[in-house]
Amino acid sequence: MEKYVVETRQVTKSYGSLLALDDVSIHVKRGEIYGLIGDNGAGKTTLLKALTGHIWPTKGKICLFNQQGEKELECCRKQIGAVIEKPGFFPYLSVEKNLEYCRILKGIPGKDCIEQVLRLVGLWDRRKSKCKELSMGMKQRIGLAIAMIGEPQLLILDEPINGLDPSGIIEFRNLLHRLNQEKNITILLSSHILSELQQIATTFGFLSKGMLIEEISITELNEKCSNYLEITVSDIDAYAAMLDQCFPDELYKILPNHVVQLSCPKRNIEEYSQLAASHGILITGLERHQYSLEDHYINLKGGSNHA
Amino acid sequence: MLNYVKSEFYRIIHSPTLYVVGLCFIAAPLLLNIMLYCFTLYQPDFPYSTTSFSYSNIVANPMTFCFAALFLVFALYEGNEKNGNLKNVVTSGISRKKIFMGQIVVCLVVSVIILIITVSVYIFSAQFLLKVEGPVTAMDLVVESLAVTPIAVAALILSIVVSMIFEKSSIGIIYWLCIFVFVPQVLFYIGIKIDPIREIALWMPQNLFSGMQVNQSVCTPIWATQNGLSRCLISGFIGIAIFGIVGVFSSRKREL
Repeated sequence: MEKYVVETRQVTKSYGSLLALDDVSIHVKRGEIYGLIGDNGAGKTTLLKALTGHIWPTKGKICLFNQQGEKELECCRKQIGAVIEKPGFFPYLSVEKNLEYCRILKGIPGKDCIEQVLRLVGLWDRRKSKCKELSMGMKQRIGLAIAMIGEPQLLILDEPINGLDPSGIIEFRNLLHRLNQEKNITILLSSHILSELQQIATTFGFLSKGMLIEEISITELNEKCSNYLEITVSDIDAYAAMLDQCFPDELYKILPNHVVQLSCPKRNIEEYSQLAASHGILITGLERHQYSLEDHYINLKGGSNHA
Repeated sequence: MLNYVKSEFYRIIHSPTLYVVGLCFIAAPLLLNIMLYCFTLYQPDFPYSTTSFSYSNIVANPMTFCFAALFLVFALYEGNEKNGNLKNVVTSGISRKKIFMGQIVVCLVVSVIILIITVSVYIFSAQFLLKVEGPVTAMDLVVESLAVTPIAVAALILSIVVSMIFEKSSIGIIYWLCIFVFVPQVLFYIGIKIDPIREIALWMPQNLFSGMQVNQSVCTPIWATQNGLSRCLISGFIGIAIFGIVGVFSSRKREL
């Protein structure tokens, strides 16, 4: 069995002078839910488009199910379901007929899969409705249904929760978990709603300005930074100097308003207080925070880290 | 490719476009013949209420088949990319070359069916409603349909190519008109001074059909002679080859 379901090797994509992807290498293992994180214009959709064959990389290699080469990739894409940018369907056809079109297109025998997938996304009752008459959230579900027809081994979803209502988001999250756990479908999804991704994904890839800045599993992320400490002091420069001198193994960042943020503090809170007190520095605030994906993303993107 | 063709037939059969387009094609000659018949009710010796006049409208204008091909392709595939359906097809692992070939097959089958029904309705309604007289006969219309087929197929392939290349239909249609109508005309006028260009221009459908004499008193279409028929067929097959190759190459690296 292949090691990676999706692997990109130094994939670069440029549009004229604009570098949309710059040497991006991602690795998605079978059974993973891989969350692609990045700002608008970071290159998430471009990368997903390259994987689904909508665009061609300027440089680099794409491997799907351990296969590469144009013909092999086309063949592998039969095992992929995807929704890129917005769901694609024929607005004048009913939900059921759109799925029948896709069933024929993918050469899936039997019509049972249509009922199955429509029940799964909660659109069975609206199967006779014309797609153009549905709400945005329902259109999003049609896209998902089309992607899931035929039980693909890999689902590629670009901003899949856009347009879904709160209960839709919860249902969708549960659905992805179910598909991943019960059917062992590998899922690669992009989003900039980090709190949502943190609840779904098992591995994260951080993209910024077309570059992959980090690829990390949820376990590594939890181990790396489970919490952080924010200390507000009267003299920030003096305290930073003390930290460098006395606790050189600490990772910290200086924030506005005389705040020092210690990532993964290695000592008791008392030790940081004592350090300040022993040098006549006043501590006016001290807070312990749980480290979230959002914090990690902000840390990755900016701020001056000191060791 | 077979799955793509099958799915496209499913879509076309279940969408209103096919029926609207088909109805337009069938209604046009039927209404023409009904209108000509109605004139005889008020003026029994109305000179144009003849099958010859009715048929001559198409026999004298073979380019109608090419314009019909353009109309059909844009009716069937307009908005296909905008709705994101092409992305679904590509994601399903179907190459762009196969999509292009599949679209040709689908359009060809649909247009042949519409053509057979339209020509049948045309001939039956004319024979039934109008006086059967004059130089242009139903056979001329049938022969024209067969002789112009390769050129119409070339026009259809070019329509698919421009609909694939250009996101905006209007721009695609302008390019189609340039290639099929305006450029041949310009080359023809340049050819008045430069002989080699004139030779090339005369192989282009727009100019090929321009010297025909089809009216109320005479019917000498280009395909009536062996040489003329050969020129029609060769011109069509050259068009099919050129536009087919251009289509394959332009579709292969097209990004969505």
